[in-house]
Amino acid sequence: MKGTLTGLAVAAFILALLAYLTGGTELLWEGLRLSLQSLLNALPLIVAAFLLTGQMQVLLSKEWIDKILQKFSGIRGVLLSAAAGGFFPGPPYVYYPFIASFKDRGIPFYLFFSFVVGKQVYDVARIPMEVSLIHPGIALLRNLITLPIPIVMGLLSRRLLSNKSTAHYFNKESD
Amino acid sequence: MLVSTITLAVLAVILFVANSKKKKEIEGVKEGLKQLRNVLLLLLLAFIIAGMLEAMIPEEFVRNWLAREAGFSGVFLGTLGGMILAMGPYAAFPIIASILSAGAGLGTVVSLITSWTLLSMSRFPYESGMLGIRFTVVRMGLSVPFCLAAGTVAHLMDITFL
Repeated sequence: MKGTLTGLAVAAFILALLAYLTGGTELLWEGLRLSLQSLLNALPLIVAAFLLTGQMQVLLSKEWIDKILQKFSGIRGVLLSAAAGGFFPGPPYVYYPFIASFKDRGIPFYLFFSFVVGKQVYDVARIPMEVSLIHPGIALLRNLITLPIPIVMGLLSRRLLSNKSTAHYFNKESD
Repeated sequence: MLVSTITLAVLAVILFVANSKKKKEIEGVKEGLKQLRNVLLLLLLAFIIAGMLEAMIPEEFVRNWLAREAGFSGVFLGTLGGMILAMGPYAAFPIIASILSAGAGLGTVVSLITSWTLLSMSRFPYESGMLGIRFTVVRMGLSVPFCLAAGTVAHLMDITFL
């Protein structure tokens, strides 16, 4: 965790410095204002998400997860994870902490991968925005073309990356 | 955002009730708050990074840069454009719509949307903070060919059928 925090703190400092150097204090304050505004808007959602995560952690025992994983491994697991990702509500600051809370539960890496890519590509809650703000035809075409991506990427990650343990791909120090 | 908040809150209440049958509901609340406390600083930094990126990305530059792009170069530039559109759908989609109406090719627009969903820098601080830089880099690295492929398929459909 310490390494990740340091990395993010350095990145935030560099970006703040860049904002100051390119746009002066005005751009720096604009960036901070946007950050604070997003954080305040997101606060109720974050609290709700963590309350849900806590209840899920208690409800879903290791044995239950093992049973589900036996039932839904391989392509069935990839399909289920990708679909679950697509239907999972909320922005990145909600779904990443949610996924991260399952890092130590013995879930194979490719299922995390399918979930994340499924959320990013399918995100059902985003479809009405895509239809109304861009174009219905473009939204339909884009969704059809990208439909296989989470499944193919999930299967690819299973084939190419399963030689290492799940922990290898996550923050070892945050465990 | 409101719909997501309500959905998650309702789910949390349902699970709270389910856990209360085993007298584990308070443990669930404590677990959730503990996890929130553990990642609070990470989230705060990620919000600062996302806000700074949003303030610094020149929207006009992306808009003008991609407006007339088409063909395979458009697919490539669309993929790059999606990476630097570090903003949420409410801000990104109108920009993409204006790029489309300014004459960008179908391949450019599809690769731009796909790249925004898979490679946008706005997700980077959250993903690397929560799941680790290795996970993020592997996922993003694997995503690049898919963004290019999606744009290429759209471009081929554009010149063949549309």
